[in-house]
Amino acid sequence: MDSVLEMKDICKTFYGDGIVVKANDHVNFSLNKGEIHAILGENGAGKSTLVNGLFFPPDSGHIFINGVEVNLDNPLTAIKEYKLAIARQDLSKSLIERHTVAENILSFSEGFFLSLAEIERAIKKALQKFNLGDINPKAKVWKLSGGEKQRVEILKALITNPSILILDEPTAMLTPPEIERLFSLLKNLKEEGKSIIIITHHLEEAINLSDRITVLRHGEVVGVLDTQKLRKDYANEKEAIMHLASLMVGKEVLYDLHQDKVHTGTIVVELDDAVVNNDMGDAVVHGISLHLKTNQILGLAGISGNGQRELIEGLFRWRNLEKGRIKIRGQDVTNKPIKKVRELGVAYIPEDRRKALIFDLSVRDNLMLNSYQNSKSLIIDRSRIIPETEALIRRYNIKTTSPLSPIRSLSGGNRQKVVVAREFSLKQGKDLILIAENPTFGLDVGTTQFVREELLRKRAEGAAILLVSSDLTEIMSLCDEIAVIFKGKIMGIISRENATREMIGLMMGGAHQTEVLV
Amino acid sequence: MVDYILMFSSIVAAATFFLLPTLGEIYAERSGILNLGIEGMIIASAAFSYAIAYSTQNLWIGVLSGMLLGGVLSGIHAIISITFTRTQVVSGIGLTILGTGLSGILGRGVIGKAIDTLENVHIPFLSDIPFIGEIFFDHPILVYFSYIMVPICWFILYKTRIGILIRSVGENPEAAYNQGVNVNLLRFACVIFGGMMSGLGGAYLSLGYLNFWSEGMTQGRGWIVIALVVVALWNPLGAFLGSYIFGTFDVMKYYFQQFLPTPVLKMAPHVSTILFLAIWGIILSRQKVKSIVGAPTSLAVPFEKS
Repeated sequence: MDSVLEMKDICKTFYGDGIVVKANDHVNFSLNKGEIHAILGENGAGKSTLVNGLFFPPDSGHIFINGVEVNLDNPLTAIKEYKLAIARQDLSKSLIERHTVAENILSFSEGFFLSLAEIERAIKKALQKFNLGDINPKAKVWKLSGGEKQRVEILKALITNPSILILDEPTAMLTPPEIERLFSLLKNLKEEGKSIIIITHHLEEAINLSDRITVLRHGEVVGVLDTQKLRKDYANEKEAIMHLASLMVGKEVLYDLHQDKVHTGTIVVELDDAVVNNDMGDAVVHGISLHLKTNQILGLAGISGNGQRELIEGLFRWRNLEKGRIKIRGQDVTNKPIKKVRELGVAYIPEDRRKALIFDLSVRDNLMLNSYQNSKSLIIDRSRIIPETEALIRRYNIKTTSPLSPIRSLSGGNRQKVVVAREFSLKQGKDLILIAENPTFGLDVGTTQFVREELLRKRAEGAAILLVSSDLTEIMSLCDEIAVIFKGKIMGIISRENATREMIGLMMGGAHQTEVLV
Repeated sequence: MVDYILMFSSIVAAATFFLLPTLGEIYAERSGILNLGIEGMIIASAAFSYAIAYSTQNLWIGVLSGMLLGGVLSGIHAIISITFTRTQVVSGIGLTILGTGLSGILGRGVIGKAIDTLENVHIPFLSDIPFIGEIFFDHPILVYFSYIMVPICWFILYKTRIGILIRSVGENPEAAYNQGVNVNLLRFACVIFGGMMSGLGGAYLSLGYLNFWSEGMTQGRGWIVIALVVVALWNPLGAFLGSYIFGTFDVMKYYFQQFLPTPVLKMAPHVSTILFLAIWGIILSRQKVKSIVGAPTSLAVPFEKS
């Protein structure tokens, strides 16, 4: 078959924070006409970097379009001359929050004057044509939900009528029914002869949608597979997925987590009828009640941007509760200072490491942040604290050249280990209440496994854990109970034994517990 | 008894001096470049246009020279802050120092020398309207130019493709660049337009409004322009309103001497600038308000291609 796009020997290296990352190391990639080609890989495998090479020149390598070598040195050439279009993953670098949807989608208008009304009509028509649901073209982007923004981004790419369409993690914020609609749209576009690249780390998506799959690992291509052949070679889909998974993650194959049977204990955190506002002053958490018990992991599942962040920040006193109460171990701590909350044993692992670490301070200083206040006198009791931090570095196997190196010099995984080490050691046993927000986000398989095991160990020791995650696999394999949040409301709380992936998926899309339990 | 027609008419004359550079700086800031060199560009152009007009005996060559000098000076700022992505605040302040120094040299030969300055232009019908006509339509042509520039600047910024692109570049240059917009070119154009408008403001100051050249004649009013952009909420229509408010403060010292001591009146433009900025700061501190009318998100943030 003819390849419409060929990338040869692509190299791209990033330098930053004392580390050198070879994001693409001699990568070869080809896209045939009229195929859907999935690029599969873990976070940080170099998938986005590879397609970005089409818009910004890579360090070295050759790119051929329709067999002719081209020099794509800026986005304009790629978009206008070669009819490429991309829906990016990082919407903050792609959508202008303060502009309306119509002002964001200008690509097809020409000339000096323009009629926004005409663009708005065109957008409405395109939304219908591509079956992307209803979005008001006059709405400001910052008012849209995560899923709506993602659909705008996809529409922005589609509306230019590209011959090569690139979708970078298009499903991250979509609900299952929306994903289904998107996939049937992609199949239609393929019938029309368009070539599509879809980047994903979901194995099922790759296997069900694509014609071929290129698997990337640590910036290198580890396999190019024909999906048809892959299906034939394996007895069922599950085995095929296992094969893909081992390709994707390498030798470190995911193994099942060992979860001891523990009886959940007493209620330690009571959150009643909480209402929390976002930065804009609009309520995004509408009367949520949650109870957290010792020896329990409560999962909070949901597509990101449904009020999880505000709920957790309300619980941990980063922001005020507009209404409702929080009781920890019987004490009312509603809108009390954050110090008080922490003294009651509430540890917090935020998704954004910048909220947990001071990058320019040393590993030791960062590990001390919990305990320095325990010093009796005005001066920090370093002789007592230093052995403790040394023990943590050994215990959690934090790879650093010295305890005095700044956090900035550590890799992402080791940074997260510092957070985990500090927060897990805040209190022991039943005294620990842990709020973990996507604790394995962006980590490699080894560290992910380590963090998950630690969570289960803390649970066995008696800690009460609230695990917020948008990763269903993580939720399903760790939690005792699963609460699903949608648009700031809890759709239901199901125990793990009764839950299936499909049920949780539907509830994440707004179905109530009563509708999915049969 | 205060001569109201004269008072209002001089408010218009003073406001025009604020309005021209403010419109230009709104474009620069909308594209994401903060230019603190306004004061320097205005004063240098005021001297330069007066000197050129004096030596050529042609006012319009003087005015054009002022605009040109403003454009050239802002070009320096553009090269430093856009091409070399350096700190805009430092470069802007440097430009002010440069412009102030330059004005001393350029205007040295014409201190105290008089020339015929821009004449008031009579517009048929409009100038004949009683009261209104005498206040608004008995001025040099640059004043009328400022009237029409307000709706034109507004229209371009909000209703044309290029205007939306300018705003996009100031909001999120990365997103604009990803869509194929030439971010640096647009920013260059806006900064130089801003410089030319400042130059025009300077030319108006020495040739149309105060009609002389003396060192330090701007009395720091270029800085008020930077505050005015904030007060105007980065909107040309707001610039019109704001300029006339500050124009009023500026001429108060001539007309309210019997009510208030002169030092207080002379302070008025500067004190009110601080007050306005404080009040605006409080209003704009709310996230929601900020996302509707606040500063361009990427203002003063250099854009480097990834």
